[in-house]
Amino acid sequence: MVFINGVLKSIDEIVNLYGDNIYRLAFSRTKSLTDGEDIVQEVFLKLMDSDKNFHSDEHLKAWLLRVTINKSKNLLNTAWFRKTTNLEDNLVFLIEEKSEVYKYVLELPTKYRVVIHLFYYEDLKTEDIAEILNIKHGTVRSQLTRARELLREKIKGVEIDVF
Amino acid sequence: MFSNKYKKDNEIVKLDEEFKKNLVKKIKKEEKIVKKNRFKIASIAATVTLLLGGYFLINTGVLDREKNIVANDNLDNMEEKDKGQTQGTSMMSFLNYKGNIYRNVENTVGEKQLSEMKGEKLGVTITGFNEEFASEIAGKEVYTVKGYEKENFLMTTNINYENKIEIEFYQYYDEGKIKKGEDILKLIKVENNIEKASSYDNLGNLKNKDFKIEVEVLIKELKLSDNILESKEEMAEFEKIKGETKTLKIELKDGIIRYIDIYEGGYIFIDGFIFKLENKDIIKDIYNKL
Repeated sequence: MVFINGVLKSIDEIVNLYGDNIYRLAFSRTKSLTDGEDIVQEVFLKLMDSDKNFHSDEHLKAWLLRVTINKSKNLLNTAWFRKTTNLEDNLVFLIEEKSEVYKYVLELPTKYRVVIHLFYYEDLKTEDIAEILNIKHGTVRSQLTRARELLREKIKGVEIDVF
Repeated sequence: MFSNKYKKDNEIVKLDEEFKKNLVKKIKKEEKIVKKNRFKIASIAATVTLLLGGYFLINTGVLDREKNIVANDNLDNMEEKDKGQTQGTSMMSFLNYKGNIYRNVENTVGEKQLSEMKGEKLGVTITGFNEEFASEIAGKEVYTVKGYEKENFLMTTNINYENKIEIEFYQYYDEGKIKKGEDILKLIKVENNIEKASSYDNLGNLKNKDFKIEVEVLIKELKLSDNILESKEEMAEFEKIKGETKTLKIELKDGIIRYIDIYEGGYIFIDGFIFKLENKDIIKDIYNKL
């Protein structure tokens, strides 16, 4: 069961509110539809098993993002994943075909994809990204700078906002 | 703008509605099983506790009041501890002492230094967040640190699974008291205490060169600088002119490691506080050397 400030939150509501956020973050790391779904499932099972009380919706979301990172990190470390990463799935092809900028993000190394995702999709501050990834604030900033540089080389004609 | 286009592109990556429905069903089913199991475990545990408790009371008459380790799940710590993960992967290592949340600080203190630094024993950690001595792991012994104030700096020791002593340090700042650079310098004891200083460039690469002299110059400037976190105008200016950053990793003589970020635009960032340096030329010169 999940509580926010002592109030019980239904699992249907949480899955509908945050399911896609978790899936998108998991996908940005794994580049795999099926692995992304597995991670989503593991994250929610972990949540329901934990009987947590969160201060706010933001607190719950930050926890979910953090667990997603850990679950996908575990997956990326498995020998099975390393052997099967060459098999790109349909979603990658779809993104390559339909997206304007995401296809270039997918070409970046994993660590850069994740900071780009948390910064530009989740609108998180670099301090919050550092907390979620458990890395130094300076490292997040330098990774973001490097990721932007790489994207600028790939994407022509799209201004990469720095905020 | 990139952010708008990236957000729009992300709409392609979407969970199937059927998947969501099945997931909710599965979680509800799992929840029922977990509840049943918990009830069974609780019943067994209660029975065992009653039997053992009765045995000890009858035979010894003593109740051990010190073993007050609460085994509940941590409510607020956002850390996710999976099997096989090391302590180093935790998101936020913390310690609650007198209602203040102390944050973990890196260190290289060995057992020899430990005996010199370990002060008065204050208690033992429990899991949780709001309680006194709450931390992410229960059973760590909490001590004051010789040469530091317990209101700002504490240490814990713990025997890990390899039967080795783990030493951790925790820092707390009373934010209202950090007005100038010298206020934080007094607490982190960097002045005249540096063993080695190395630097990370703005791409996060570590430079294997000692920047001790540069740090000492920087400290003199930092002492006089203002913490600008409370000023909206100053923070707006900071956002405009801060520029790139480089990070100084400062290893102290006592084994504690401190990080200082230097902004090209003349600012210093330490543990969440931002200080504005008056002499921009000095900081620019140091920044270029790092």
